[in-house]
Amino acid sequence: MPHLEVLIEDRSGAQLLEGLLGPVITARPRPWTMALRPHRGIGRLPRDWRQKPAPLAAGLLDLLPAKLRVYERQAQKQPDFLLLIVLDADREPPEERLRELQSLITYSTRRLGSVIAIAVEEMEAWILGDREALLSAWPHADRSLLAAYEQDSICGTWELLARAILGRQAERLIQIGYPAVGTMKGEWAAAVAPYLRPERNRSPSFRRFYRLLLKRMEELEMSLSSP
Amino acid sequence: MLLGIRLENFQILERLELGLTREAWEKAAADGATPAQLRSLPHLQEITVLIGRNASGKSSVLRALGLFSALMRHDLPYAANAADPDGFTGLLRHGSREPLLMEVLLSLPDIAAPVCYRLVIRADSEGRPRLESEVLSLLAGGAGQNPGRTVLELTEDGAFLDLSGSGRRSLEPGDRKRALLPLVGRLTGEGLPRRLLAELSSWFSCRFLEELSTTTQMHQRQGAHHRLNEEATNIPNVIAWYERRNPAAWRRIRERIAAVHPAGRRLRENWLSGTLSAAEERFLALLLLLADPEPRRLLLMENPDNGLYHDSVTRLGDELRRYGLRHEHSQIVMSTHNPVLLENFAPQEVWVLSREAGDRALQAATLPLVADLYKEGIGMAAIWYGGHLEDFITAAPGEPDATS
Repeated sequence: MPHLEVLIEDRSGAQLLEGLLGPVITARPRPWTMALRPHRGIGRLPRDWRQKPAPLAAGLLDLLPAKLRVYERQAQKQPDFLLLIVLDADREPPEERLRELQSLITYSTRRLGSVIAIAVEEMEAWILGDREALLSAWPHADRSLLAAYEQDSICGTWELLARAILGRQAERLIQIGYPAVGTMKGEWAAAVAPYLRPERNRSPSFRRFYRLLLKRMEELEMSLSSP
Repeated sequence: MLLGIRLENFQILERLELGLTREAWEKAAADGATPAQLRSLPHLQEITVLIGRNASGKSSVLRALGLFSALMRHDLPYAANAADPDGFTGLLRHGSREPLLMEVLLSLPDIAAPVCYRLVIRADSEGRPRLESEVLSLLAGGAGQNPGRTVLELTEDGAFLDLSGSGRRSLEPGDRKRALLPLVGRLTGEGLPRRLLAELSSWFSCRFLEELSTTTQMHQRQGAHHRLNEEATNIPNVIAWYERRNPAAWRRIRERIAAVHPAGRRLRENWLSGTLSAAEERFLALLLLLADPEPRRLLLMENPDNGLYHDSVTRLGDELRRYGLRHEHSQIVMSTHNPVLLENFAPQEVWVLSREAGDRALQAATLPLVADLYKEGIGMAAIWYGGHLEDFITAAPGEPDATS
């Protein structure tokens, strides 16, 4: 059975992706399985991709070269295995991050099918990209703030979402700051996930990733059907 | 060494098999496995770490193992009351009409095939424990080896002993309030009952780690004690023993503890003046236990990292590992919720308990991708956090796992 293995930076991302990708999976002509693999933060790519991760390493990029080796071996045994890596770009231009990851993937894998998805700044941009879902989850959200948001801009995305959803309470939260407020992100993701519809999401970074994911899934399904 | 345990109707567990069971061994032997193949069936290791969600049965497993030891010293009612505040009623699965079953599979030095010891205990009309059956057997060694045989057996029809395989001697079953093994083990010479009695008597529950326990020096009396007791109320007596009987060993132990324990060099004064916190005192008791030059055969620890600062947790992990390496016949079975502690262990040492689709215990090394991730240098903490140890929980038995 084709399988989608998803690597994400943190648990709140996993919840969001579960909401976004769940319908994608069920809509496929063949049944797929999916597994979400959270990490504790993004970390950083080691300089030497061949070395083993540092003790207690937990960030997605810290572990990625080692995991790619494991998944490549898995793909040789199980060709219907597709890897999806989802990252926030944070303040970096997403193209740079993408380039580095693409060369790592080319270096480490041959059989493994993979998709890299980069959310501009952070994944909250993808929630903001689906206005209807947002308003279904939070009917009292501040529409004027939402209207002022420039999709996929680097502007303090999660802070904007916090203000739109929580109003004045958001300032306290913003003061405390991430990572302590990580649990809030998880709650938001869980609240909006049931309403998300990938086809109507307006975030360009999301649409790019979505198109590519569907393409890869189709390719994989076709390669399975062919003799 | 403990290879596996099987429990039925024990506390919340309906039926759990952890590690290697008699059934698995005998099936493989019947299928023609060689002794080498039998020895490589998944079994509990020198260090066994149980992980799993709350109420997944980890405590119950530790309690059951401790109970075997208690039954070598006490009768059933006493041992049951010591094991659970509700006595046997607290041990027997709530609402079960079936009896409680506890079975362990062990390998003893110089005995080729494993030893199986099983107790079945039923509640009488007053809810008190009554031994329905007790069986001690040597299992078959595999293709070309000795067939198995029963050495000691108690059933509803009576009891017998067959020490050397040359014939059964019938025994008095007694009032069925006591296991026969401790009696037979004491009265017979060299033989399996004596050896198993020595082994089980040496199993030690670190009761001082239990949630509400605070070790105190309340019961301090004069006198040197060779061994720490399960509540660790005799730390001063143990130290007195070392200072008198084995000062050289004590110097080494003190040095080691001072290097590892957060109270460090000022340990003795802090401890004498009673200024150690409960967590520090528990940690001290653990370190004393691990430093014992004549270690127990099995140490049972529930959440030994409880209340410890993160770098003490790392040190605890080191000490557990050094203990395992130093004493090849001594074993630790422990539970933890702490990823920092888990990082010190390998997938074959970790067993995941779950009750979501029946009571199950799976060795982490047998779960998809885990052994491979570990080989690439990804520690058990990240593997755990990434959800790989829960892949088998969502698949019902018989269904393919998420990544298969």
